[in-house]
Amino acid sequence: MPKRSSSQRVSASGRKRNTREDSDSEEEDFEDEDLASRQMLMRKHGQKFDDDDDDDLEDEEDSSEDDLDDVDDDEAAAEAAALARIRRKQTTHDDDEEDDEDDDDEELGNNNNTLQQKPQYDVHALHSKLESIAWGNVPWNEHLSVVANLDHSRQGGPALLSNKPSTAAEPEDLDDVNDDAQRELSFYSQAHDAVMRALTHMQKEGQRWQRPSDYFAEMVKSDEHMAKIQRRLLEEKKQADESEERKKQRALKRYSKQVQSEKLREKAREKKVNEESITKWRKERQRNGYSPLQSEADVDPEYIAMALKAKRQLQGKFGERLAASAAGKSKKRQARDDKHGFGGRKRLKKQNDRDSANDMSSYRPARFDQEWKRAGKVGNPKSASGSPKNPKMMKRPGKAKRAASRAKL
Amino acid sequence: MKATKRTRKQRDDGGDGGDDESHDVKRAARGDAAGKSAPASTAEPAPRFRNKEKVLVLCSRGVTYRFRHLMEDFVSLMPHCKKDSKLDTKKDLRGINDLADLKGCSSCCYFEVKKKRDLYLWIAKSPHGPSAKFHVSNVHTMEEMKLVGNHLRGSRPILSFSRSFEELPHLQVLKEMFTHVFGVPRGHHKMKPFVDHVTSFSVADGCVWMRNYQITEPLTAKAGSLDGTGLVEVGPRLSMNLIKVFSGSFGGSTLFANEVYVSPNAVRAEERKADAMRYENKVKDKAARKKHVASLPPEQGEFDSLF
Repeated sequence: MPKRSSSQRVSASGRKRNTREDSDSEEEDFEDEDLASRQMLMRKHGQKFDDDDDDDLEDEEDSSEDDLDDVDDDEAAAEAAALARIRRKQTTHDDDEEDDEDDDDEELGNNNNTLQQKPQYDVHALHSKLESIAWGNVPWNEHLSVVANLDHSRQGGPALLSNKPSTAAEPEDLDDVNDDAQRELSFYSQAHDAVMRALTHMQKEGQRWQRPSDYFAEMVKSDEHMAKIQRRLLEEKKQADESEERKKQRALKRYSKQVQSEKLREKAREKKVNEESITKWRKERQRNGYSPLQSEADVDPEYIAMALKAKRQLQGKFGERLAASAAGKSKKRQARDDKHGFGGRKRLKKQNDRDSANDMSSYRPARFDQEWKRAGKVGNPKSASGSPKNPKMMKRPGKAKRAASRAKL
Repeated sequence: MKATKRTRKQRDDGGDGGDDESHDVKRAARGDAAGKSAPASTAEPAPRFRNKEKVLVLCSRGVTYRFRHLMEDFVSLMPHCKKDSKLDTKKDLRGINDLADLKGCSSCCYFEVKKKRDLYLWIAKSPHGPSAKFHVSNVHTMEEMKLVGNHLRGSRPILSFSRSFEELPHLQVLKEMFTHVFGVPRGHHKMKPFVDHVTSFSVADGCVWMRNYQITEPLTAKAGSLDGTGLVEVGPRLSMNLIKVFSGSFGGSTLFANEVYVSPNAVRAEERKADAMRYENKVKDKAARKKHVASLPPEQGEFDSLF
């Protein structure tokens, strides 16, 4: 980094001297009362920046009040605040490099932070550079630039709008710059404000800015690219619609389920009431000693109606009964399932469970003699099923008989 | 080359110009401003201001596709620019001034890419400066599908600046340079005489954020009514963190240095360091927690000793 020359010193006394030395040709511009407001602003910046104590600052402002009548107070206050901030920064980090050159500069006394990076803000040089490149007071139409909160009407540019369309925060006042929505909104509103101002101004001046509807020319984005964008937008819209539809269907399903369960509950409640009414009726009859009904007129017709209804409900409707038995299957299906063994659990069918283990119905305790007796009747077809009437008959046959019977078999 | 350039310029200016022509115009414009109080009869009729800005746009070798697309977007926004081939050197950027001189450009936009990931943008007034160096981040190019706007190539943008650009000296310089670079000169042969987009520069969080919007009118708009005028973003969008402003073009003394700027290298190094310190931090945190808990014994309630 090249070292700064002494002509760019930041010094109140040296400033004005250097200004004259640097820009002799522009001296009369500085002397002149009727400079462009921008230049006055610049000079004011320079002086404010250099002056150390506040009294001087105010004096300067007072003395140059005639020059600055066009700058409104808010703006001046904002500038002063911003510059004060910068000045605070600068006075806290000062560099010794320039002390060697200008010893009479008492504000730059901090020799301790020589190793610290030098914060640089050479306001005077910035202003002189700005003057050297600035176009000056050119018609607004040449640059079309709009600064927020600044009235350009003195330069023949757009004035401030009487009613600002947006209330979004200005970019400088954003709380959190990482909040995308807020940030983009503030940029948008700044640009929108500028556009409204500029277009209003152009309309007022009678300048044409709209392109005719039949004017076709090359655009910054090609037609293919725009078609791609359009396709993508349509796709996104379609997807959004579909997901919306799905969401609606889900909600509808949930609702209908609720309705169905409510219906069932209502049915159950009614059934219970009916059952209760029947028991009540029965008890009534019991209390009356089962007196035979003489005629239908003796019975409360309400009871009869209720009883009939309850009976129907207990049995269920014909179709319901059928459906319950078939578990929602057709008769044919049921038959086929039975035949081919479809449905039901296949595994662990033969495994014991509590009921089957406790089931003693098929248990016959072993009684040798009885078994034996029964076995002895094998050869006698007449008494095969009956129990032996004569115990003597059960005597074991002799050897020859046994052999004969074996031979018969 | 110099000679040919001069002859071309002379032809453009009708022969009376020369190298200092732009300065003459400036002085004339300033004289016009100063001469308001003077009697009009004595003042010479000032020559009409003519914006003859030309911008050299180029990038360094080693540019990545995204940054190259960003540069292409800049080119499509600036009909008054001259694109040059990639610059091979990374050392002496002052050579760009010669390139600009050859091309007859008065401003330069140089996209310097380092390590294939960090983009630095130089905006310079050639050949006498000043120049500004930015670190560019949050880049979205026009290619992106979410930016659905479109506008004429070569139409003149409205340049919108946030209020800081009039308040702070270094931002004033930036504003002037942005106006020169991004403003399309009136009467340029590639310009289209309509206004259908706005390029906005906003200062937020110490960075300059650039956005480009198309100006849309409702289909049912009445003639002469601006109701319902809206904006649709076209792109590119980027945020530029100002690093330094130099007095010269690609060099010279530093007029402004951003003291809160941290280079992306430092950020990455810090991240790596933090990652390396993970175990140490964990142990430290544990010890600190222990100490903290020990220093705050639970309050003894009135009935705590009862049960």
